Parts: sequence; C-alpha cells; structure tokens
Amino acid sequence: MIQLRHLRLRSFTATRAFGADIPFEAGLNVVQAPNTSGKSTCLQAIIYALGLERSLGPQLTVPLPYAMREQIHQFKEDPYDLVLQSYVELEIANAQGEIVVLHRDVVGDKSTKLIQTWNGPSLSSEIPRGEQRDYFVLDGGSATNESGFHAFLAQFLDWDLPIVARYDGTECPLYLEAIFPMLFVEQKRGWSSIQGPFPTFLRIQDVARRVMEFLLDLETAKNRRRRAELRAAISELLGRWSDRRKGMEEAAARVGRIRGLAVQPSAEFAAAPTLDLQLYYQGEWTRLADVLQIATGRVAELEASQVETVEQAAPDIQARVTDLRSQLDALSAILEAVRGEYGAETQDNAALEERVAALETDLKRNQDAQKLQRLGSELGRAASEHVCPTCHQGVSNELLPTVDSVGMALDENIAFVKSQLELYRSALLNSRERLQEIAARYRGSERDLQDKQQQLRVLRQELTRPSASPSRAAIEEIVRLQAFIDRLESIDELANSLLDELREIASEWALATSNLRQLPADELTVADKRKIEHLQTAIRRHLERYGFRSFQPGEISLSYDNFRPLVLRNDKGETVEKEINFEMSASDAIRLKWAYYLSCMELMRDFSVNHPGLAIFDEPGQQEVESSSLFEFLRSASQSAQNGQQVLVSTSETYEAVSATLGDSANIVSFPGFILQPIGR
Amino acid sequence: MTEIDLANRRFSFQRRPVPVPGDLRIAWRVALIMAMLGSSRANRASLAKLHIINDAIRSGQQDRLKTILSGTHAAVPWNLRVEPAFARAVDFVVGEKLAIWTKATGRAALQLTKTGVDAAAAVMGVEDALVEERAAVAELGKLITETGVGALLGEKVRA
Repeated sequence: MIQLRHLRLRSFTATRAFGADIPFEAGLNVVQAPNTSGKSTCLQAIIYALGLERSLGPQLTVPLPYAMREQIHQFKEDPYDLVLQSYVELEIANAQGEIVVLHRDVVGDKSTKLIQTWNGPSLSSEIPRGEQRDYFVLDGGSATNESGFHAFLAQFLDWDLPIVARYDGTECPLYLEAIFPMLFVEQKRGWSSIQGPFPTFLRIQDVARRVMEFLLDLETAKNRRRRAELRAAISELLGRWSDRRKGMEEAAARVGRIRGLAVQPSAEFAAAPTLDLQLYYQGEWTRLADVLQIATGRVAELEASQVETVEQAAPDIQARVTDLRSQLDALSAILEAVRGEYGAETQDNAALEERVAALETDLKRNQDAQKLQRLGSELGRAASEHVCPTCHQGVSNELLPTVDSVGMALDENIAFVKSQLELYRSALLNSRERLQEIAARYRGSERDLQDKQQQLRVLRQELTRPSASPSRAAIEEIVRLQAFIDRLESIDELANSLLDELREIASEWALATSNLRQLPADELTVADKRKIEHLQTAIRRHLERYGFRSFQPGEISLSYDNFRPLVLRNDKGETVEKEINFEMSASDAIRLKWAYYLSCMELMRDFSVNHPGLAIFDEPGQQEVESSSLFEFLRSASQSAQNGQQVLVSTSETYEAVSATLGDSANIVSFPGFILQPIGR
Repeated sequence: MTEIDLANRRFSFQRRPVPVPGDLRIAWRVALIMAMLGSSRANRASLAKLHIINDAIRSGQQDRLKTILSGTHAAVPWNLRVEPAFARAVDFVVGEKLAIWTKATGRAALQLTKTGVDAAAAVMGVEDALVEERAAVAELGKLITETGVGALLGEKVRA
C-alpha cells in the first residue's frame, strides 16, 4: 500500500522563491484550480518525484512545465523570471506506517537521476530530517540494483516484482513504469484507452495482462512463475547429472567400464540407485565387488597359512613357475589380439568419421542448392528448369559426367543423404563404444600380464635362495594383492560418493518434475475467476451510477486474456463477447475508465491483491462529460477510498460546486490562481 | 517361373534417379561461379583463377591457399586439379548469357554480363545458403590477382 502525504514544489529565480505545498489525506483528495494554473504540474510532480516519468513514454525530458524548468511569473501579465533552481519533494507512507520523504531536483547542480530520501515525516510536520540515503533512477539497474530507486520503492511497497518475458526473448522484472499507468491517469494521453496506456518501449510481452495479473495478485501469474523456476531448476539438475555422469565414466574407464547409468536421472534411480562397475579380470568382465571379494578372500587364505621354508615349498613353486609361464604366453597372445582388434576398430572409426563428415558436407551443399532455387530463373534456366540453354535438351543429370543417368530431385536427394547420415552416425556411436570397451579390456589384460610377470620374477628369485630360509612368495603375494585391493577400494569409494551425489540429483529432479506436473495448466484458477467476476460486478455497479449509456452496464464483461472490458452481445441467439472499440461514445469511454480504475482499487477490500490502493486522475472531466456524471464519480471515489485507500483528482470545476457535492467527505485543496506562488525566503 | 514364362512377359525398365552430390548441382555450382566472378575485380576473372578458387573450395583448402597467397610460404606448391564438372558448369554460365568469354592478361577469362551482375548480387543476397563458400570466395576473389594466378600455376613472372 502507498499513501501520498505531502507534496512540495519549489522554484527559485534570482530574486524570488516560488512554491506550493499540498497536503494529502487518506480518502479522496481534490485539487481544485482554474485551467492553466498548474494542476497538472502538481500531479506530474508526483510522477517525477517517484522517478516514473518514463511510464509516459521513453523520452528523458522532465515532464514538468516551464514554471519548474525554465521561467516563471506570479501573474499572467508579469514578465517571466529565469528559474535558477527548482525541486520536488514528496512524502509517502506504506502499509507498515513507515514514512519517507523523497527529493528530486529539476533544475540545479545535482543530477536529475538522483533521488534523495529521508525517513520520517519531515514535510508534513516540521521535524528535522534524519539520515539521508541516495538512490538513482533512469539508469540501468534502477529496478534491480540495491541503490536503484525503483528497487527501493518496490521494497517499500512490499512488492515482489514478477519476472516477465520481453519481445527479444530476454526477461526483466515487471518495471514500475509499466505498472504505474494503472494507478495514474495522466491528462494528455491517459484518457485514450481503458487500460494504461502502457509504455511500449519496455518491450514487455502481453504487458496489459502481466500488469493486471500482478495488481490483482492472480494465482495464474504465480503458477507461471513457479513453472519457469521449476523448469530452470530441472535443466540445471540435468546439467549437473550429465557432468557427474561423465566424471563417473572417466573414473571407471581407468580400471574397467560402467554399466547401467542412464543418460538422464529417473525417479527409479532416486529410489534405488544402482551402479554396475565392471573390471576385466582374468579374461572376463567381473563386478568390482566380486573382484574385491576374491582378492580379500585370497589374502585371508594366505595370511592363515603357515610360512614354509624354501625347501618345503620348492616343488610347489616349480609347478607354479611352469604354470605362470604358460599363462604369460597365453596372455601375450591375447594382448596381441586385442591390440590388433583395437587397431582395426580405430581404423573403422576413422573411416566412419570421415564418411559422416563427407555426408554432412554433401547434405549442406544439397540444402544450399535447394535454397538457391528461390532465386528462380536468376541463375538461368539450366539451374531452375534443367533445360540446356543452347540445345534445349533436358539436363536432369546435373553436372554428373554420364549423360544417361538422371539426378535425383533435390528433396529426394536430401532425404537420401539424411538417411545415410543417420545410419553412419549410429554406426559411429557404436564404434566409439566398442573402442572404449576394447581399450578397457586391453588395460585389464595388460594389468594381468604385469601382475603375472612380477609373480614369476618373485618365484624364480625364491628358488635361488637358501633352502632353509622361510619362503617369501606368500608374503609378496599378500603385499601385491593388498595394493590391488587398495586401488579398487579407492575407486569404489569415489564411485560411492559420486553415486550419493547422483542419487541426490535424481531425487531433486524427481521432486521438481512431479511438482511441475502438478501445477495447473496456464489458465485462470477458480479463485482468480472469482476475483475477475467481482471486479466485473463492481465495474457494472459504477457504470450504472455514472449514467453510462452506450451499452447496458450489465453487458460489460471482462476478457480472460488481459482483462480489458468487452461487451456481451446477442448474436443470432448466442451471447458473444465483442470488442468495445468505436461503438462507445467518447464520454462513456471516460466513464468506463473511472469505473475500471476505482473498481480495481476497491478489490483490495475483499481480496488479497498487490494494488497499492492509490488512484490518481488528472482532470477526469474529459470529453465534455456531464457535470452530474463527474460529481457522481467524485462521490463514488470518496466512498471507494473509505478504507485507507487514496484517490487524487484534479479538476477545474468551481470550488463551490465541488465542496457542495463532497462536503466533508474529501480533502479539497483549492487554488484561486497559479498554484506556484511566491513564498517567504 | 520358367524361362518360357519369362520370355513371354513384357519387360519394362524404369530408370531410377541417382543421388547427386550437392556440388554437382547446377544451381549450386552456377551460384558459386556467380559469386566468384562477382567478387573479382571488374566482375572479370580468368578461367585459371576460377579453377583455382573452385579447387580450393571443393577440397576445403581455402586456408592453405590463403597462406600461400599471403606470401609467407612462397615455396609451398599448389597442386591444381582441373574438374570436368566445373568446365560443364562454366559452359552453362556462358550458355545462359550470365557471362561472356573475354581475355584478361593474356588468358581466357569470363566477364559477367548485366544479367550476370544481377544474378551475382542475388546470390550474395541469399543469407542462409553458401555461407562459408561466399565468405571464402569474397576473400579469395580479391586476394588472387591475375599475376598471382601465374605464380600459382608456376609460370615465370614476365619481366
């Protein structure tokens, strides 16, 4: 909620000081003064003090008349004096009762992009000013930066501005400049449309809808926002998943291969994460856990056995040496075979890659040729109609060397190349996988070979040692196995920690996707519709009071897409909604605008909305609207603003008429002449 | 089915179209030639120069050609291959009156006609096709002078 409490204008010339002080109260405030006396100056000064002049358009000119910018005089007949310094101050309060004074220079030394603020009611009561804080407006970041004034103002109003899409595909907060035209009807352009008019230079998509959704605090906007957040979260999770998965694969490739890790997270994985890490161990793919078990079992077995002397163990060692030799031979042969396989597969892979690249170029060229068809006969008839320019025979063989073949039509050719490309790409993918597998197998076998060679060396040394000394073969094997186990365990540990992370990602992903699925479709919820219907009823009630005659007030309804008023018409027995457009008289458009703005504001009595409870109408007596309607509007406005809301109206109707209509129900500020008057310095 | 049966049946043969590599499409190659001539000085280029650019683009060696032309590696030889399909495309260009035969620095050369100039402009204006090729042609067309063509072909520079 926002409440304006006091407006101060000051304009200094070399010799004199001019100024105006306008106190505002809760409820209806009427600024009454004759024409060309500065009423609009007052109301525009409010826009200026709030740094919202761009809600009127993209220009950066100060939206204030000469009196505040260049020259000023006291009476119409007087010569003008040059303005040397001028500023605007505005005191505002929010729902929490916090009061702040805003100061912005119009002419003077300070930048007009600077807005200074002080806490406390130093304008309405003459208490000294407290600590000053400076904010900037108009520059980038004014709505988001901590020292941007609109970021401050949004926070002051307790507004959490939604992020909206722009035409260029980027996103931005719903700028205050876009919202403000629904609170302030400026005199020159404000009366030209029922909603807004909204500034278009901000390039916000569906701006009317976004602003209304925000002001009425509709659930559909929150749902849309939630959906966008969830989508972003999901894509971030997917990225993290594939990142971790890659890390996992790389770690696994060092010892073996990994099986059963899906490309995308799934709810199933979140519930029961499984991972199959396999090792090429003694000629076959074995699960890491199994290998670990075998190795630890063997260690335990060795540790339990008695240490033998070399003499006792000699026959056994001899037998093992023979066995190891033959195993080594076999392994070398296998390694050789695997190496050959790897080489062949690499060549295959390279050939496939080359083929895919060639096909891609060919596809591109054929597609280019297809696009060039757009040039038509510009490139000659041979290119467009396949007729030889000299002999007029068909040249459907294109540039192929053989005359008796017919080239495929372009579409067909492109489809043909594409299908080949698909085939080769999938072959390439398979080949890559095979390569990885062969490499892992090679590493496994190589490890095996080295292991066995070492064993053989140890055993042979063993045989040459004194026969009474204890055999070291078993101890050496334990040491070797232990090193192997350590390595496997470290990988297992890494895999487990990654697995935990993956499970976390998967469960977050599952939660986000299920939340996304539960969100209702992008349409108005039941509660939203109730708000809109309430708004519609209020508008009709207002219209009845204002003497709206272009249609029956009961025929006015609100569109569900951007909540603009429509008219219900009977078309061949069916009730259809039609645009209002030109069928409405100009004065009735003004009445509809009054009704629309006041009804929006009234909605905060019965619903939770973001509307700040402020409506400002600069000269509502537009288009020769009858005085009786205008006074009825003023009476309505004073009633609408009964519960702490605030309505500001400027009018050139006589003070007597206004005060007779409103009595004590409004704060009438009356100026007989120019609003800016000399003040004591 | 016996042989007699087969002998008594009517045969019909249908000619199946064969796939055509994109660079053997008349439209593709004529457009490329238009781009080459359009980027050359005075819309004119010798046949030899056209062959060189064509060869560089088709074999994807634009960058190598550029290095040679920049003069820092003057010793690098350029093995020119003459492509028959290119000669056929040139015939089409001349037949369509997009270009006429003329002479440049003592060599047979092609000169764009008025329709040819329009066609070249149209090709350069197609935004989404021949993107890389057009960029390469635009650069090479200006870079290779007729004297440079001689050097590339291994002629002795005339005194």
